[in-house]
Amino acid sequence: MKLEGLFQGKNSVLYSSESESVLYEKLSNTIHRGRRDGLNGLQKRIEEVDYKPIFETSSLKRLQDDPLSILFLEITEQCNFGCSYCIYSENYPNERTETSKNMSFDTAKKAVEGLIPLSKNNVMIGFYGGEPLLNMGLIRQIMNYSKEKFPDKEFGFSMTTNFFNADRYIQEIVDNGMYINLSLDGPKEIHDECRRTKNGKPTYDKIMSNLKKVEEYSPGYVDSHIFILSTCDNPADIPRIIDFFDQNRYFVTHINSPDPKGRVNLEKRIPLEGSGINLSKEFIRRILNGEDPKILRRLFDQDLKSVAVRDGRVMPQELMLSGSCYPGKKRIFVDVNGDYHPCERFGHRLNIGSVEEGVQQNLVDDTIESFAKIRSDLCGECWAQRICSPCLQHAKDPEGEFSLEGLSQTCEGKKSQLLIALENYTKLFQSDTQKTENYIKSINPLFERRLI
Amino acid sequence: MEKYNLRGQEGRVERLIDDLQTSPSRMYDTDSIKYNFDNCECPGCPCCDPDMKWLWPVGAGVLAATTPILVAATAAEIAGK
Repeated sequence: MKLEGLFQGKNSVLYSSESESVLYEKLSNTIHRGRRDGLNGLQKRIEEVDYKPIFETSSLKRLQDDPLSILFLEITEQCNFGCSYCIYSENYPNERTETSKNMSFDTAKKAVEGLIPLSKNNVMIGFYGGEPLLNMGLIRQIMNYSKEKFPDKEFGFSMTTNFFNADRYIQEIVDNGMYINLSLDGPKEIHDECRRTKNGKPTYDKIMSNLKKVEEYSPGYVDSHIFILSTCDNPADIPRIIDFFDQNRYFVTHINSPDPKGRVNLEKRIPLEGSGINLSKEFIRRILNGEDPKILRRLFDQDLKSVAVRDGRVMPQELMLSGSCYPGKKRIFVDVNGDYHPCERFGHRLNIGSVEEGVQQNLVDDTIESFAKIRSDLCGECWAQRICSPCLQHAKDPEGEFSLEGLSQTCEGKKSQLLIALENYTKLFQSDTQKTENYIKSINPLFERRLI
Repeated sequence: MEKYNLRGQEGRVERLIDDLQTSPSRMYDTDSIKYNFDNCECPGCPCCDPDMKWLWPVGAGVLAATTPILVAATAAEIAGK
């Protein structure tokens, strides 16, 4: 997708697309469409205004009494795969390396005893790794212990896994109703290029065989309990990945690219070229035809929502720190050593307590304040300030914890993503307001799964 | 307009805001799409949305990455590089 005459200012962005131009400005958080010459003049006046709102933390701190929803336990640091793009591989020298370390049952018990009382009636325990299926014995112990220790709680269990060894535990997985977050990159040739065992063997066939066994044991389970994460290391593969998932029934939640931060040995990637605009056109076509965009939702939905559902205030001095959760509240990640972190996506960065000392509120507060300051300092002169919602993990610093420099590395990509969303939204809205409105309201995985 | 330190820009900014709000180029989002800041915690991302906490998968992502693939693929193209 190429936008003609793109001009990105500190308060606005202007571009031309087909027959008209589009201007988005953050002063009144509004989109304008029309002739280029008229919008040029408007943009000039907008850019003369000095407007740098800051991010406040009180809205986020209102959530400090929220119950814990998800407790992640890093069951093991071991993995049976040697994926080329893994952040624990030698390509990421600043991340932890893979070890044979497992979480002890004593540490897991302390985490459960200390944190489950912070939840309400329902709580999810997520098993994380490394590859959690390499330590199924501990998972079994934790599930039993949790239910025994807290009989009044309703537990859900999930696991983030490569599913390679799942054939040994299918009955146990299904009988415990475990939700599975499964890494499957796409068709066999793409998946097997990166996702291989430590010995270099391909893994696609075994994983598909395991999915089949799950379905034979419990028809419908794959549909209801298995979520797919696809990682695409080569942009040129996107169309084939989209085709693959479009044609099967797996529920894909993410299509990501490997983390460029801190990565060495970056190989040259083949660009997507014209395919991006075709995918965007197809996404719009499906919505306007009343079809479900299916897998294309994963590429466009979230940003479309950010652009469409906007705060209508005019030039507020303070903005909500949207996009960030309250660290250590709704979710906590406990590593193999028993240290607490805000999120599994943040790895071992940012210690906010431990099984011995509990959640350290002062560290949580410091984190929120620091992140708000980073955003205020970095985003004040960016046109996307009011429609961009990064979370703490986006500010990950490859060599430290989190920083302004870390967040700034995501800016160009994010602005491009929001431009795509702006273009999609204006095109949709112009074509059919009612269908667009209905679609925006449907951007929710629960709708997708017909659960609400 | 909220009270904002306009540092001597008052008249000019007020005229501009008036123009922005009445301009024929303005795109009017429907009321049901807009959100009310006072009643809304956050426009939200799936990983912390309370309605999704049970059913949106948890924990996906860290081993691979955090960058949506389309962004990685198209950023340079959009910027015209």
